[in-house]
Amino acid sequence: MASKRVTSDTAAQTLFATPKHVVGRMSAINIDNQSTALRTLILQDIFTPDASVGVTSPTEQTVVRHQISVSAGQSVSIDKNTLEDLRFLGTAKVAGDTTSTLCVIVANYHFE
Amino acid sequence: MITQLTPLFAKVSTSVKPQDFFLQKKSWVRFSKEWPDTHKWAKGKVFEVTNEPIIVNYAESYVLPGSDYKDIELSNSTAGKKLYPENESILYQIAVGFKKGDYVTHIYIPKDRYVYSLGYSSMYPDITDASKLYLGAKTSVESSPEYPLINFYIIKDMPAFYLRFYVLGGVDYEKCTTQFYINKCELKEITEPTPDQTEKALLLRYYTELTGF
Repeated sequence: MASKRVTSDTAAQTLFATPKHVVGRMSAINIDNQSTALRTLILQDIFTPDASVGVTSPTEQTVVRHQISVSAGQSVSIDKNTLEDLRFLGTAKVAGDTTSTLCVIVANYHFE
Repeated sequence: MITQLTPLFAKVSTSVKPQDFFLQKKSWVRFSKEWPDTHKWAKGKVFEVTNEPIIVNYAESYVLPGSDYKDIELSNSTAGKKLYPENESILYQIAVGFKKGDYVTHIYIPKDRYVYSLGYSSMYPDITDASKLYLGAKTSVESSPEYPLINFYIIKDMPAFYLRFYVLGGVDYEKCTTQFYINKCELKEITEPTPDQTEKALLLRYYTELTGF
C-alpha cells in the first residue's frame, strides 16, 4: 500500500497514476480541514480511452469519482462502502474549491 | 482449438490448479484430420512434447466507453498481437484469463466466426441484443487470471483468434484486461503411435470442427 499527502488546491493535485494493466483502489482517504471555511473536494479520474469501434479518435477524459465537503475545523474519513466502489482507470487527482495549505488530504491506495 | 474447464472445477479442487493442465514434457497431442494441407506437417499426426514447460506471461488492457467494443487479433499479422509461433513443430498453448470488470468478451476464429454459438441459426453472440450479448460471453467468472480455464492451442499460420471486448451499458468507462499464459511446446512426431498413444493424446481440432452443431 502507498500513501500520498496533498493540500487543497484549485489546480488538481495528483494522488497517483494507475499502471496499464491494473486499476487503482483507495483503502482510506482522510481530510483534515483546519482552515476557517468549509472546503469542497473533488476526486477526479483522468485518462485517455483506447480507440473503440464507436470512438476511433478518443480524447482525454476527466471523470468525477467522488465529491465531499468538510466543515471548518473538521477531520473526516470517507466511509469504507464508498471507497469499495471507487476504481481509478487513469491518474487520480483531487481538486479543491479553494487553495489552502490548511486543508490536508491523505490518500492510501493500491493497485489491483 | 479451444478447451475450457468448467468453473466448478476451480472451486472443488483443493490440490490442482488449471495451470497444472499445461502440456508437459512427454505430453501427447494429436491433430485431427480436418486440418487443411497448409498445415500438413501436423494434419492427422500424433506428437510428443519434448521440452519442459516454458510459460511466458503477457497482458493486454483497454479502457473503453460503455456500450462500445473493440476487437483484438492474436495472430502475427500486421494488426495482430503477434502471439503465434513462427515455426512448424511448435505449439503454443495459451491460457486466457479475464480480470473482473463490467465487460464481457466474445471469442471468434477467424474474424466474425463465433466459437460459442448454438445450433439454431439465430443463436449466436450479438452485442446489439440484450440477451444474446451474454450468449457464449466470457467473463472473469468463466476464466480469471488466477484460474485461467480457457486454453487456445495455436500453430504457425493458423487462422487468427479474435477477442471482442464489450463494455456493458450503464457504466462510463471500463478497463478490460486479459492475462495470457503462453506455454511454448516443441513437438516431435510419433511416426508410429500405439493405439494407447493415439487415444490418450489431447485431440486438437481445427476451428471448423468447433461450431455448426
